[in-house]
Amino acid sequence: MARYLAHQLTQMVIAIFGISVIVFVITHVIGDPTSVLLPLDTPLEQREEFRRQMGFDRPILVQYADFLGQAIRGDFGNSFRVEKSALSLVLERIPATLLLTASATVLAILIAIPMGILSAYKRHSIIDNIATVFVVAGQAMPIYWLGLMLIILFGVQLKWLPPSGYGEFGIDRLKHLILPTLVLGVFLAPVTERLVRSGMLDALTQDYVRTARAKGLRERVVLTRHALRNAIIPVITVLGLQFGQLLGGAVITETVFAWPGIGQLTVDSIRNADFPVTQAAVITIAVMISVVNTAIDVIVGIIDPRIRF
Amino acid sequence: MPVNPNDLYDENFARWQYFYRKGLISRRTLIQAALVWAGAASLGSVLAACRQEPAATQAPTQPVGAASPTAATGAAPAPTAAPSPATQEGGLIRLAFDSDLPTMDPHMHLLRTGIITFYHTHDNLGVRDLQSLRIVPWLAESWEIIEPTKWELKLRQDVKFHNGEPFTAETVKWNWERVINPEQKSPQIGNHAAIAGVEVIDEYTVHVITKAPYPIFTERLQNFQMIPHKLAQEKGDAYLAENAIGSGPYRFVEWKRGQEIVLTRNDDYWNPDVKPAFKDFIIRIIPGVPTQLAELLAGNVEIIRVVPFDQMKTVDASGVATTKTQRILRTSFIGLDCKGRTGPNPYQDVRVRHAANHAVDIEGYIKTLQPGGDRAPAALNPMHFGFDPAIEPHAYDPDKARALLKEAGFESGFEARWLRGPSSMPNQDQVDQAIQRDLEAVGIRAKFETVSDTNVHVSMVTEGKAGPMWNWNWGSYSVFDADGLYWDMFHPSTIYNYWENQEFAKLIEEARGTLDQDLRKELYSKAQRIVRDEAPVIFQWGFHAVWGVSNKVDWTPAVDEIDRIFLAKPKA
Amino acid sequence: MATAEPRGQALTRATLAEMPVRLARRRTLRDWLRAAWKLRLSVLGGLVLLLLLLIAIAAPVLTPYTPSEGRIVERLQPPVFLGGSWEHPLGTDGVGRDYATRLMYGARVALAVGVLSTLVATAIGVCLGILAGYYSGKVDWVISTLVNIMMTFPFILLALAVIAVLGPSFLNVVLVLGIGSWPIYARVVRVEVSRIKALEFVAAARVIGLTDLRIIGRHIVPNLVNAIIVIGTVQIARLIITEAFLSYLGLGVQPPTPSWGYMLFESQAFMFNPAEWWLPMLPGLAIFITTLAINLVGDGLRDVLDPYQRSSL
Repeated sequence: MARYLAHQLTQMVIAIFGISVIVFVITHVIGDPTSVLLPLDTPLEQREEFRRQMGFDRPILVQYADFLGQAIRGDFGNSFRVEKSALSLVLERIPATLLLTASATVLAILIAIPMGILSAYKRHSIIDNIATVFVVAGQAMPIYWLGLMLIILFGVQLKWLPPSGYGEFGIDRLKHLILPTLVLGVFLAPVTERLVRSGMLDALTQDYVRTARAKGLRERVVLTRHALRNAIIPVITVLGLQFGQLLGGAVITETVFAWPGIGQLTVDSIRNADFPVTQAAVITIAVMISVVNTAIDVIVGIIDPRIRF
Repeated sequence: MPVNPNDLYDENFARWQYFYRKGLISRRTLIQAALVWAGAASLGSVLAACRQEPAATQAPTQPVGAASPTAATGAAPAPTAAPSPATQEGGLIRLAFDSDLPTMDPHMHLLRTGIITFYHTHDNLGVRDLQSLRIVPWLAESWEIIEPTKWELKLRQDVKFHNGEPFTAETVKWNWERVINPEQKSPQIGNHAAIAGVEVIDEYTVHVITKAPYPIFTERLQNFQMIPHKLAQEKGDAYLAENAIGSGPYRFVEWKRGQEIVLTRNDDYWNPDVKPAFKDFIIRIIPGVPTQLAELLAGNVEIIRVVPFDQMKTVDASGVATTKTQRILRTSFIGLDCKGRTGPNPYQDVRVRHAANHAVDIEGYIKTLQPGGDRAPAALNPMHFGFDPAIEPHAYDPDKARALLKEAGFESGFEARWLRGPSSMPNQDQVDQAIQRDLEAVGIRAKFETVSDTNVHVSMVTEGKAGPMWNWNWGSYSVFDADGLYWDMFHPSTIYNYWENQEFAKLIEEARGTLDQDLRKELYSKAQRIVRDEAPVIFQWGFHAVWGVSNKVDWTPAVDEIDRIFLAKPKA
Repeated sequence: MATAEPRGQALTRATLAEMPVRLARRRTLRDWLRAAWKLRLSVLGGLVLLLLLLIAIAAPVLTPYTPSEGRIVERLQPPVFLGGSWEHPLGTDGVGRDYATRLMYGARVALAVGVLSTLVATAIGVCLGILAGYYSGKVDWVISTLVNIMMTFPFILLALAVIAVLGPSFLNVVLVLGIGSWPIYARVVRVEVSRIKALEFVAAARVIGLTDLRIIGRHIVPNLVNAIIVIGTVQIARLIITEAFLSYLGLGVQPPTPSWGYMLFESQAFMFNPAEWWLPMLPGLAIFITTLAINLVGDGLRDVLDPYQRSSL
């Protein structure tokens, strides 16, 4: 277990390091922080002078080492727009994003597992075909388009749900949560359904299922107790791997629904060329993904007796 | 009100992360803890929600329509009947912004949204009278020029800030010195570049010294909010950045970053003529015009600041809200690189510039793609002081354009990059594509290059990298004077300059240095003739902007784009 | 299959000789139909895709207009099904351009972006995958780590950042999408290469002195083609959607080039208009139908070409 964790930890560190290189290159080498930091009417000479003062004229590797040293201590500098540390701006957005991604995951699982089981059990039947259409349609749906249609239908026409925003803590927030969850859930459910289906297809051909059937167990028991239990493990693993994609989907969903999460903040910071916030957000996301993936590996290790560290 | 569970959420998350990072807990413990905590948090949220439910039905969160009839009648600041405080119950009004403010410090931003917010929480020395468009006394009771470079301001004596601090001459001196102090790094320093210093004469009199005669001094009295200086000295800039404490008709309550800014009526406001009808005023941050439209139509905000041109009829037909169109000072044009600042290009030939101006059907775009617009034949808006209505705009004449291009040696046309920033004018995208098509019809093949970030767009322009053509519009910092546009755009000394003309420069310098308004009018008239004949840009128009306003609210947008929510009333 | 023969009949020499031929013929006919029926959705998707391809290629022949011509006075004309004229069967957009024409040319852009960026991704991914699988050790470690990083991180964020800095253009979009989506190929190729490498025939090939390049080209690449085709198909659809999202944020292909994503973006507020809802609906549907068709085809291809489902992860 310890060795495995050490390995995971190294992987995590390397991944975050890699992301930090990428984000640094984008913001420092391709972009030019001075164009954002200075008042718009600064003459060229003053800009050069400022570049020198800020150390933007130093060799790029030195600048990176500097950046990394501070980033490790959680110091990404202050936002260019707001007189606050970039990291604190990012951290205060995390709860909203976690709430949205968690509820979307739950919804996706609620859709995917029954659908996956049925479509594997009755392969090439009408149910399976409907599931296939749902899956491909879900993957083919530009989610901001779906989001807008839902806003107009439920928010404006029927007035059942608030069209956007975060709401007050409590029931109000739950109401605000429904539409974004629906959109993000539809984004996540297809992949999950496919996994459950292929896992079940695989499991149903296994000996232990045949044995269970031979014992005369009821089909429902065979499906849920024996087949599903084995099919679910890869699903959990892949849900972890999908967490990054889920956050990518959350970026879009949050933008459409004015949901004050980390994705919206990142898009905002990119559009305002607020590089410290972009850096802090991207690296925080990388950390979140790594943590979730490692956590899932551990959970799988616990529930799957075949895996021993 | 129970403890805000959000705080707990944050705190716990950070704490566990910290323990884990320090190696104090194992990963398994972290996960277990996270599960327990997540369960507790969701349980807590349900409990808190149950507890909060009765409170949620109380007045402050009710939509405007639910405002009681007594409030509706009592709250109206009718000049005939003195409003009695007992009936000042009011309701809620919500305004949508598309992005959040960077700070709650009124001196540390350059944004329209900031100007609007702080117009409610703070007060200015002078404000614009919406009828005459002139600046009239506010916190300053009166002003006069005692020397060409010295203005005397008499201040009101009955003004108190929200924290109880009195407003005095010292406050004014401190505020001005704060903004013009380079160390403070206020983005507004440029607005006050002409100010040399402030002298306190007595408790309610100050002298403001300008570096040279400064005819538009009074324009600077607006959009320059007074901060209580003792509070500022005591608590420091970090506090000001989080708390908008001023003397305005609304008090600052709370800033939920990325979500909303909550204000409530200041019932002790010094000016009895300003009695906001709505007790609670919330600014909601809603990025994206479609989402804002949805919120307006769903009745979740009362005012949105942008209604797309093609959706005006939808809003008007909705029965929920109505559009209000208002001419504003902001004026647009397409910049041309007349002096080859970016590099040699065809627009250095004045004939090509005229050709481009004749190629585009400005009148047609205003009619079909705009909610209205005022032609700007020499870049000035008709509302700028000094605008000369006798200047003839370029006529739409593609044949003439082709002839001019031929004369200039571009018979087969030419290709040019067209730099576009984030669209900031009504229906900009359609207008640009229509112009692109019209230019192409005479042989000018303009290729869009879009930057998504305003800062990058502006710095490309200021650094001379924007040529040969780029989108531009200018709000003149709400200075209703030709100087506000001509100086910044076309004076050879400024960074926006892509066209040099000595005669023109002399004229606007002279106009800036004199206080004789008739002479200034004449000078600007001559300057406009030069601009018209030199065509340093493709002239467009002064905008008409479109607001969406709930039918439950009686409110008209203002010509200076500062939404005065304290003037809004519930509709009977 | 023996069950095809009448039961109890003796297997004579004659029937034995006949059997494979007959069986083969019967199999071909029946299995084709049965396969097509089983894969009816994929077949349908393939037909739709073929139609889209035809439209994209033949766009200039199919319409008398160009995608950028039009007159402002003719803006926002309704489509035929809402009482418009056949002059503009799907109406005109906000600048007066023929909407059907723009949608047809939009198919070109969508398919071009999808296919080109997928080709870029395939090229990078296959090369790196082969490198990693064939030369294990440090090379493998570096490439695998890179793959892991890129596969877990939401690449849309990096794409956004890069395009925001570089400026949006057709080329930039294709490059960013291509460079952002190669890891999935590298991953599949790497596993496959290291599996094949261990097989005896590769060792044999080495013994007789074949160069690495030859071994890779002869024995490894042909084994991978199916999986790559399957992944590539699905990726085209994903990248079309991603391009549409970049366009939605104003960071995609630039106007007046008719990109479906941009058309959706510029018309999204029309969803509120009772009369002009079709403006955002049509490009949205175009994206939806195209990606749906591609995904259905991909599903079918997977069943046929990739029985071991190597391409599903």
